[in-house]
Amino acid sequence: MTKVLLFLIFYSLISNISNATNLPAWKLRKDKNMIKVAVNSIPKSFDSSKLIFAEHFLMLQCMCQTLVRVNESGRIVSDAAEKWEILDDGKKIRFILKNNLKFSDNSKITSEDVINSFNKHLLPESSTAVGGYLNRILVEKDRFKVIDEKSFEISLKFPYPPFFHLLAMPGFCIQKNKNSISEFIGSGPLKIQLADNSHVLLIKNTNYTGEIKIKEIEFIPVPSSELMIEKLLNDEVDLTLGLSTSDISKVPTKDYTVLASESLATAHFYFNTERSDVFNQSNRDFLKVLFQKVAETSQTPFLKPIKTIFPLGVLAGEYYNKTISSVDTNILNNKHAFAKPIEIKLLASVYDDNFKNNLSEILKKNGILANISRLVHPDFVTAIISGEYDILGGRYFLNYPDPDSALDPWDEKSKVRLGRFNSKSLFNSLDEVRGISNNTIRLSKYAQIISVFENKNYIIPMYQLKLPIVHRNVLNVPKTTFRYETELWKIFWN
Amino acid sequence: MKHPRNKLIFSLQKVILLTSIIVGLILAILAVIIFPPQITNLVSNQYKQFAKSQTLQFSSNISQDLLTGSYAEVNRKCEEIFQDASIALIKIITSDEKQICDLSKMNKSDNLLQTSESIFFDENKTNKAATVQITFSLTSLNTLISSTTKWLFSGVLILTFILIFLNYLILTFIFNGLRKQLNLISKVEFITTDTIDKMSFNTTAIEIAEAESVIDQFKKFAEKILEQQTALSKQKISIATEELSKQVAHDIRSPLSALNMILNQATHLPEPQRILTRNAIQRINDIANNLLNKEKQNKISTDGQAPVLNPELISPIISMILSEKRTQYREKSEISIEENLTSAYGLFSKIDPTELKRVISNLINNSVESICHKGRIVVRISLDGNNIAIEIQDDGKGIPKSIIDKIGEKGVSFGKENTNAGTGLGVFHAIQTIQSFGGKLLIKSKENEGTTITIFIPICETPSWFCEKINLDSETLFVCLDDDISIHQIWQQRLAPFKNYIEFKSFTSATAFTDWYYNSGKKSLFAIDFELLNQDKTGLDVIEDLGIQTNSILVTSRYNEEIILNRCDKIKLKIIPKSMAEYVPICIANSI
Repeated sequence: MTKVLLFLIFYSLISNISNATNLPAWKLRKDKNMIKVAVNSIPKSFDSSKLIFAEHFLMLQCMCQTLVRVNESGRIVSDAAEKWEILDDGKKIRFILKNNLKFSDNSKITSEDVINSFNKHLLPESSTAVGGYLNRILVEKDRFKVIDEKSFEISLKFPYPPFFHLLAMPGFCIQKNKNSISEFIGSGPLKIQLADNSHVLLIKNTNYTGEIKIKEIEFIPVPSSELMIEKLLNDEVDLTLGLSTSDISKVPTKDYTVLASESLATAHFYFNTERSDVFNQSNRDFLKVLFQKVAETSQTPFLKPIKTIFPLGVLAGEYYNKTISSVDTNILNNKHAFAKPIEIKLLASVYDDNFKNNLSEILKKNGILANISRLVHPDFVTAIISGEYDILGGRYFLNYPDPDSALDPWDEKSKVRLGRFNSKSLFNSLDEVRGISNNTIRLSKYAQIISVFENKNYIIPMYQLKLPIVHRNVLNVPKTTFRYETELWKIFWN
Repeated sequence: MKHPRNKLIFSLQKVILLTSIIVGLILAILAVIIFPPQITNLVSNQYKQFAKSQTLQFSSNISQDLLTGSYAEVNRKCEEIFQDASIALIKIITSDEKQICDLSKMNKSDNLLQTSESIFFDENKTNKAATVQITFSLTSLNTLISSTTKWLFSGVLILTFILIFLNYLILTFIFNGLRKQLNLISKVEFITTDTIDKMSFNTTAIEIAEAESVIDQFKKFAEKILEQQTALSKQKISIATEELSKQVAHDIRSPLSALNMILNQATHLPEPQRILTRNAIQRINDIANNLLNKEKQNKISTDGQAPVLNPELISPIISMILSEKRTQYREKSEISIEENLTSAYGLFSKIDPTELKRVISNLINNSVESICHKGRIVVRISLDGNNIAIEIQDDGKGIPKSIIDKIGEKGVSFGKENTNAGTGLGVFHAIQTIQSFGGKLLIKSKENEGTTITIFIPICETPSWFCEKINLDSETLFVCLDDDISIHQIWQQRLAPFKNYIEFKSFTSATAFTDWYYNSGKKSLFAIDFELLNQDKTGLDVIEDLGIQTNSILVTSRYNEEIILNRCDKIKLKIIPKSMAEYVPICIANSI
């Protein structure tokens, strides 16, 4: 009798295992209501003040709440804040937090927690990529005032219309003061279950009061596009972020959908004028022509050549109507200026080999020697931080449709600079007009100032890009027309 | 004075015109009574929807500015929308009672529509951030509705008058044409083909289908009237002729019977005179029969229906056809056509009289043709068992034996070499016809001696109206009422053998008869004629009036008229055909 029972148990186990192994892996994930996402890299910490890459901010957004968020209609709605009051003619905003707002570790979220989260970006030693935005608009002293456990005030130098959009940036999410990756504690829809260098597993945060359909999201680091394609083919992942646009054609479209996520992201060339004096105005003007030619010839459905730094819809109309100044072609004879090879570093997920070859060819034709390299995630970040490049082919996501959302990497004080050039006068000029309460006038002034700066050609406009998100057909990925970025936690299985 | 038809049409035109005016005015009034509130209601509802959606749109437009503290922008947008004349007030109040925008241009007299929308902090719309109030002035809308209504009413009124005027023009055009035509028709005294041809509506260049159709129908109607008029006049002539013939025949027959009887008794007359007298009587009789025969033929032809086989008294049919034949062959004075109907009284058979006449006619024709110069044809009727035997005997050249057996076959004829006839269909059809009556036809012939053809047709039950015999008790008074004295004489002659115990009395006038009847208490039998010329009542009326049907007999030559038969049947009154008076058997009970 015991033998029979043992046989039955053994048989049942074997049959379950064999059934399980018969099912494709994505179906098992679907049954478990979890998705597996391939990202270029996993951050060492989810501390918002240490993140640089858009993909990392997307991961953070799953675990973190901001005071307000931008909904699918592109409108500001409350998130952690229940409501707010505009005081002192818009220079002071009093936020009242939601009742029973809790971190995922069950501790209450207080006004102090929110202020601490902001302060992370404002400390002088902070390596934040977004702190500059806040710094420019907050008063110098008594920036935050705790009223009580649930309410606090933020004081601004002047009424600042995009302030709420700024607060909706995932970088300004509310987090507990921890530094370790696995110890990150937020109040978002998901929370960290496991996190190390090989993967991050997020599970449902039961303290989150909003609606969430997915139960788990697992992120795995896949540094190259080739590997991402392999993972897709092997049914190891359901969604990829940061796939190179040149590899999109390899995606098995039978099972996957390529979502060209609308965004205000741009991919430009940034000069580092601090390493060499070769990049004077006339050389920059000349190179601009060459680079934009390459951009024209190397465009893809995800990369749309652009003639201005800011895409349409960010600045006033006159900014886009400007005439492009003609280039002094005499520079072509001044080849000795580029006697030493110039160092060009490109973000691999944006600029593919075809672009690299076209660029190399056109420079060679013009007698310019160049070491061009395509870098993936950590190496590219290293290059950004160290400044070891002459020209950087980078990418930047505008956080909201306002020029202020893209200026920080140009600031000499910024911890994460894209290019290195003299931008003092630009920021001084902008500081003078930033406080104009009439948004239309403010943007008009911005357009004039930025146009002047843009003519210096420290930044060569190359592309407005669409973020390629590849996902399994049976996954429902929310539209991102107004959000510019997909909130990953809103994805669910059909 | 107007012609009635003209008056009717004129009224119709007015009625139509008046109706269109009334309907038009009703519509115009309805447009005033019903449309304005409907329009006001409709426009108001639409405007409410519009106002609500405009408020919603405005709220949505300013919500982001309001939430992000861009109050200057909110105010700018407020002022922008406030320029709209229909907006009387805009107010935006935040949840903390801060008034962001408060613009008003309300008049006390304004009719207002208030709308409001809320702006929320959250997506679930639980935390209200602000309330947007927009008050719309309905004054301009009401002015618009009022002016629209006026225009609408004016439009309807003008349209109505245009329609009435058009209606008037059309009606005038149609009715003038019709009126002209009707005037023309009214002048017509007699409808003729010419007057019909003149009818048309082509008084104008335009043809109106309906009017043309009316005239066409009228033409057809007139044509039918003309047809019927012609037919009626023909029928009148025919009826008059028939009446006259009948009267003449009736008047001739009675004295003929008397003459015939007298001739039979006048044995003292020399033979040549007797024959001459008999022939003369016969000839007159034939004329009478032919007149009656024509009347019947007319009836059959106008009826046009297949004859129904009713019991028919055979002897009058035979008598009539013989008369016809005698007339037909009166040129052949050497050929006599005689009849012997003594035994024919009361013999009825179900036959088609026309067909039987045709058969007899054909057979007599054959007999006449078989006689070379001089000869005699005798037709006898007798009872043979259950059949009536009609024998046609001639002393012509006879038929060879070899032909006799085939003579009834189709296409076989004999003895007609000198005539145009001789298709052989006569005897064949005679056999077919007689067989269709359930009878048969026998031919006996000897060459150079003559031919005898005997027709046997089944006898049928005597109809109830027919008086088979007169039963008289001794000492019964036999009373005759007849306007024709010759009938009195016939009866007198018939009763002469019983004059010792049967008393006879006769009257020509119904009044005299009635007067006598009331004073007489004697047991009587009345032989009364139907038709009493120039008297108020018929003999049948007298019988009915006096209630003497049980001991009366109607003696009339109109025995085959349905109305008379029905009346007699009702009171169970027996009839003797007048021509049969001399043959009816008289039985005397208790007689010696």
